[in-house]
Amino acid sequence: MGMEKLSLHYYTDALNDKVFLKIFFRTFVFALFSAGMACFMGTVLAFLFKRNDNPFTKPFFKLAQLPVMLPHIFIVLALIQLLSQTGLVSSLLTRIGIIHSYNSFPLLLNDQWQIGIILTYLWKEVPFVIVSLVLVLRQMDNRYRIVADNLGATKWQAFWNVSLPLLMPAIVNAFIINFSFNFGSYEVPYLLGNQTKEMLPVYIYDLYVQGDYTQLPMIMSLNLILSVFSIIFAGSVLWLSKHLPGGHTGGI
Amino acid sequence: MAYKKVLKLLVYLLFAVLVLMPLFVIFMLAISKTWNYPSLWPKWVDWGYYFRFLVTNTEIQSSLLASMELAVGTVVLTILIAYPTAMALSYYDFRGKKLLNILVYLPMIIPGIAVLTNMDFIMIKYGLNGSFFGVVSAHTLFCLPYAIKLLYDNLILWKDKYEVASRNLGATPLQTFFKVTIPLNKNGLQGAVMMSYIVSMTQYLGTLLIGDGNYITLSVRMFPFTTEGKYRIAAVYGITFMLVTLIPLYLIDIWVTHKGRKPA
Repeated sequence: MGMEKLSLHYYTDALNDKVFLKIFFRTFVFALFSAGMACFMGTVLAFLFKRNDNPFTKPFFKLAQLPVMLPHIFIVLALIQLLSQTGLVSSLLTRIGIIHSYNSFPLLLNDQWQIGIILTYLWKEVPFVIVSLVLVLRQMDNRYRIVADNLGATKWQAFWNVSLPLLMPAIVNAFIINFSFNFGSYEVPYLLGNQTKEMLPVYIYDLYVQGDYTQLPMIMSLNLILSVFSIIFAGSVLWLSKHLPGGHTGGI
Repeated sequence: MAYKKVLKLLVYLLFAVLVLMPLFVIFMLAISKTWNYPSLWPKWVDWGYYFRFLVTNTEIQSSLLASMELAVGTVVLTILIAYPTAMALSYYDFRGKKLLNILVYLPMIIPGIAVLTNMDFIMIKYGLNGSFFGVVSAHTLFCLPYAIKLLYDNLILWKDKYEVASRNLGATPLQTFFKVTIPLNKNGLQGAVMMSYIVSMTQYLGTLLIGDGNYITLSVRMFPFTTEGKYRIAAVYGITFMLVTLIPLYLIDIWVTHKGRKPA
């Protein structure tokens, strides 16, 4: 088949391909942003959920487990019914009289800014962060915080210097899992993505399915670039989290 | 203080609405006959439609069967691989332990699209594409990190102290495993089984690519209906998915907590 020589030219081709690099960069920024948002919101909510004295905590923790169990297609379907231009929110706004027709409802799905995809990932991942952090928070030794209180730390200081560093490993783990998922998962960008702002997984899948046998080395080299990049990225996030001030390994 | 409580309550309420709203919409979609713009509420609600569909439609039944087959196969294979791995990682020190620790998490870190397209290529090469084992092993790959982590976190609490005592008192390895290790490790095992079940049920691309169309599970079948705009049928599949995911997990949860309350 004419593929008997070892050659690195597929890698150099890939790294010189402007289209690939553009899509790669776009997907990277998107994954970074959505995973960061999910971790931030999840952490804030987890702190609200951790107290056992509140009667709402238990039912809401059970509630938070629901999105983790459901597939992405499920929330995509609901978002289409809710947020598309002829969806329920648009109907409601028309009814109230805020907008005149569905044409003036902003495009939220299949849009340029990937809002639909981000909302889908947030719905799935914020609960995931909550579930994984609450488990750690409940096991966490309360004494450190009490000691901090006792030594005169303000609430904010106790949170920033004691609770957060203890929680950091779990947050970083959740961030890496979410980032890798958002970076390399196919179904949601395929359903809710914008054709002019293609995402990397869709690009690779299309190449794989449509391309012929001669395209394979090219796809494999793209895959390897992607994998190596993700591993290096995860490794550097872990390294950073250990070496930044305030982000120790947990100190236990 | 009161102000703070109200604020907290508001956050809770907002969270509950945001989580439950999609579920409610899909539920209504599945039982409504017509629900188009700009009506806020379905014009016609038919409660029997869902059940009639479930009983008479052979497509949904075959999807249900395919989902369950793959999920059970995946849970079994995952536990078979994850249990010894987690035990080795938590009990013993050996050469390459650090490397194994990193390798375990790789399926989570490497982007799914890269793993799956390459895996599909390998499966075709060895003639495993479209086979039960092929799809189950693809699902298992994504379950392993979760399962090993959950089992490991639980096993590390006691290490092998009790196993050593049990062996010392004359129990066979099998007796020790079933009478000591598993009961002590019940929570970890429950978490690993549940997570593997969920991950297998929600897989889309892996089932489609490696299954070669032989295993059209519930989540795979929802796809074409969604892209073609047949939202009602997609919602019916969604509700079925919810039922077969939430009920077994709820039952496992009750069963485990119930068993735990019995005096030993």
